[in-house]
Amino acid sequence: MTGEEENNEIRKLLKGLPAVKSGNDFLEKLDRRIATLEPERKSAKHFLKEKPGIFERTFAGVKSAWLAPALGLSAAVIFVVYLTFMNQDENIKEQKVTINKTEEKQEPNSTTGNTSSTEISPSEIPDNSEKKTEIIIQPEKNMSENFDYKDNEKLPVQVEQNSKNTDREDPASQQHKLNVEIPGGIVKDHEKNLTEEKSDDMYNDESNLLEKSPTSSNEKRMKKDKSMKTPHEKMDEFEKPIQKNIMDKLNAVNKTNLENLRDKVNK
Amino acid sequence: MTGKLNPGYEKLSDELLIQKFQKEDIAAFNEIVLRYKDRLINFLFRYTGNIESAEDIAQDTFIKLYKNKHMYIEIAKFSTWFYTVAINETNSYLRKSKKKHTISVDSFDDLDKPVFEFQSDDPSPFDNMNRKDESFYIQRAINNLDDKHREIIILRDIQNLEYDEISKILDIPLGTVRSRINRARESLHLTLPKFIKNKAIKR
Repeated sequence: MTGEEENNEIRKLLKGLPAVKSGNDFLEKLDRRIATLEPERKSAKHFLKEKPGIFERTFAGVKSAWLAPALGLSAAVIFVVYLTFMNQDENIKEQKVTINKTEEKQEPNSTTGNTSSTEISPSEIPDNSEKKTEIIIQPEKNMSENFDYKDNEKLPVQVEQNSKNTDREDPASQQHKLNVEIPGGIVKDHEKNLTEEKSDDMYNDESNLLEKSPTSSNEKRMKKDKSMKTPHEKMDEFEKPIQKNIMDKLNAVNKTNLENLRDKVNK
Repeated sequence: MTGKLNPGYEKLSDELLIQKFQKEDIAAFNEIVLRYKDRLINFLFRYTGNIESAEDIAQDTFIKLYKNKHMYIEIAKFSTWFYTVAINETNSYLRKSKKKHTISVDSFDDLDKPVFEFQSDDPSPFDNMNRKDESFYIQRAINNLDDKHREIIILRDIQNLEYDEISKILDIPLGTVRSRINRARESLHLTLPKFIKNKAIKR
């Protein structure tokens, strides 16, 4: 017997084996087992129906499923646009804040007396007072001989007001104020000058320029002086030419400052 | 049986039936069960050598099909996929029950087989065997094969599957399938020489 014949015999033997069939209760058993599975599946489905997911809730109104991608895409686009606008607003705000900060930083550095208010900080007083008393003193030297002034007498109203501001401030500045003496015997409150002369820095702001220009303040003062007709009338008359000189100089300085400011603003 | 049978489904292919079952058509599942239950139990009985185990594994296989119907993708024949599932189930079942490589003579009672009495005398028992006894010895010889030869010889010579289909089910090359089948036949020939000779003489 050859190998092939032997193999064929084996094949015949195996194929001739009786076919085994399933038992009669096979399908019943299978039925029972499947029946045990069904309640689990049904309960799971019921649970899912009672508590729908986020997508089901969001797209509950959308009956056709093909709209879902389009809706999602449009929502994403709206979100992106919203984010970009928000960023732009924030950038603008940030830019504004930085500009304000830089302006705030530049203001004290560039001009010591360039404050929005009429008050002068005590730290600024000595520097300005030294410079501007010099300006004042020179014309008074010429005119002082014609005028007598007592130390105890009051200065004009505006000067008093200005001096009140400084009185509150630094005692050093008060000392400085007392020590400033004009050779003609006039003890002049340097703050009077300060209010006028701080304009170098103050007039950077155009609004300040209009309100607190030396010309306007002087005019007011002159009017007041005329109306009051106090015992200081002579002194005022004496001061007029001095003030004019000062004002001319200040105006010249202010004009240059203004021009510079305008250039900056235009830039 | 779960649900009703659809008489129109008898003509449908296995692949169409599973597609229908994937769409929750229980009648398609019933048709698949009817088509495959006997084939599957025959295969499983030859593979395990135990009718009870064969029925249990067949039940498990159909339950697995019921649960995981969506796992089937129409890139292979349904029968190939189903046999693969069945073999995996068998291996896991045998691993659990530790009944692998054991033969229960009692299991043949279900087939109305007489309890076989082994004779200690030299004259072979094959002399008095009828056809049922033959199948008993053949089954014993099959179960004495190692796993890879046993499953391949059953698939080829009992289930009559093609080589390429066996190759897909067992996920081995075609050449390996052929060589394993030949080796399995040779080993069967060695275990059943007297029977074959006897049968040859009878012819």
